[in-house]
Amino acid sequence: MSSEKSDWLSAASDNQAISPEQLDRLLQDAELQQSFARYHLIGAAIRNELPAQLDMQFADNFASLLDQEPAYQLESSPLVQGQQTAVSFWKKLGEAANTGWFKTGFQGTVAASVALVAVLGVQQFQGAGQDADLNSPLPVLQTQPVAGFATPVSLSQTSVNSRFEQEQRQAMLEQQQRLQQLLQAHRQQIRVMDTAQQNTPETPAEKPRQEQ
Amino acid sequence: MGWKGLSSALIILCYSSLSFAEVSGWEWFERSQSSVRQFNFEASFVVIKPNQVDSYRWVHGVHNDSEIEQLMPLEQSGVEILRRGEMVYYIAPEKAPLATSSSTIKELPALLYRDIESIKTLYDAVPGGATQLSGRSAQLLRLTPLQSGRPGYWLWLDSQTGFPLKIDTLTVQNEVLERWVVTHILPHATLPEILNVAANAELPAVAETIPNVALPQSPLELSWLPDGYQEVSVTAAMVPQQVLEQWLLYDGLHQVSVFVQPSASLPAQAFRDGATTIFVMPKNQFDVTVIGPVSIETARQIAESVR
Repeated sequence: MSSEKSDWLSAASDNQAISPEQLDRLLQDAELQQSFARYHLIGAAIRNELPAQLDMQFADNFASLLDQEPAYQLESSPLVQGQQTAVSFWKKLGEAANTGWFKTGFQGTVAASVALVAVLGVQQFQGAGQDADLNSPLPVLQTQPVAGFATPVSLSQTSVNSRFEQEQRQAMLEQQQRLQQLLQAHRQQIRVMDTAQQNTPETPAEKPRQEQ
Repeated sequence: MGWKGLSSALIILCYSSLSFAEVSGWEWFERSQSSVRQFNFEASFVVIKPNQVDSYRWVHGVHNDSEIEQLMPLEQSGVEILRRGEMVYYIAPEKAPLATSSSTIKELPALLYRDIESIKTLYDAVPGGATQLSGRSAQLLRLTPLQSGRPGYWLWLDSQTGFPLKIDTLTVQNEVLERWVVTHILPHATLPEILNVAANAELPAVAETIPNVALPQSPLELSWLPDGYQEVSVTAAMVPQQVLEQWLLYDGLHQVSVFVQPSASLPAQAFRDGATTIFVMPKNQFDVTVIGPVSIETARQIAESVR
């Protein structure tokens, strides 16, 4: 049994898997734990991994050190109590804020403050923008052409195109003026239509035929 | 008690709407035409076109059995128009007033003034439902053209008086080309005060203002007219220079002008100014321009018929 016991323990110390029952036994049995530590020590000695100064009692020493630490007792001082009342006020406020009209009011206040911040922020931003506009020269007063002052000297394709477009635009403008004039003439004729019919009772439909 | 009141109100409402529905479309139209002739009123209206809005002030009154009517554009550069009975005056600053003899101001919707019998030959009137318009109950009246090529009209008339509140000019597909909307109206018991001055102002006679000049002879001819249209005489003094020939066509409600000009070597183009189509077509040595409230197809046919 002893050999059986030491077998799995030795295997465990060599990083072999152990069953949950064996782990439970190891955790409960102090003798087993000691032998487990010993196996590790042996393994370390064989692998030449022993530290220069071996302190076998490190865990026990640390436990006794912890025992010697003075125990601090947490007591409530008057200052802390004052803070507690303040907290309770805020707590009450918080509770009240979750009930009835106060909730809506509180939410409204929060929303209003957010909006105020947003508005102030935007105004600040706009103000900065306006200032920038005021400082920059007005387009009307700019003496240099917007596209830059260096125009190509050579007859490049783009300048031919733009010249053509200009001509086209000119033609379109003339066309529009002509149509505007005709539209005006059309309206004038409508205005005087009744008078014209009174003045010339002869049938106007025959006029073109007579001309031919 | 409340239920009783409500139900009786509903019954009255239903009954009244039924009684309105009994009025035929043309009766509504007649009522509308007479309302703009009989009432003393001050009104404002806007004419909305796709890229333009014009607003006008419109005052009408009856004085000694004769109508006085004034139309003023609310923009600065406009011609003021005054009508006294059968005379219409166009008054522009720094210009001699133009006087014409006519019983209507042509800048107002022609529908409201033209002879109802001639409109009946062109349109079918169908009353629609009642709606709310500028806080008043308005009756919809649809005028559908009997032949294609003419625009359709939807009129909203005040349910009590028949006064026109809104007129839409539409294409065959019921797309709105132009909208005429009354924005404000103030009825008067007697002649509006603003017309007192106009009623007594001294204004020139017709003969003084329009010189009688004959158009130069031209070999051109219009060989086709759209259905219902006929040629009417053109006042030669008003034909712009460089126009070789102008014809004016009239169907009792709409006017179409055909201009012939020396060629400017431009492609065929069509424009729209509200309900007015402007169609340009180049011919051999000249350009033909058709202007009027006709469809582009009709305008093209007219332009092609010039020889």
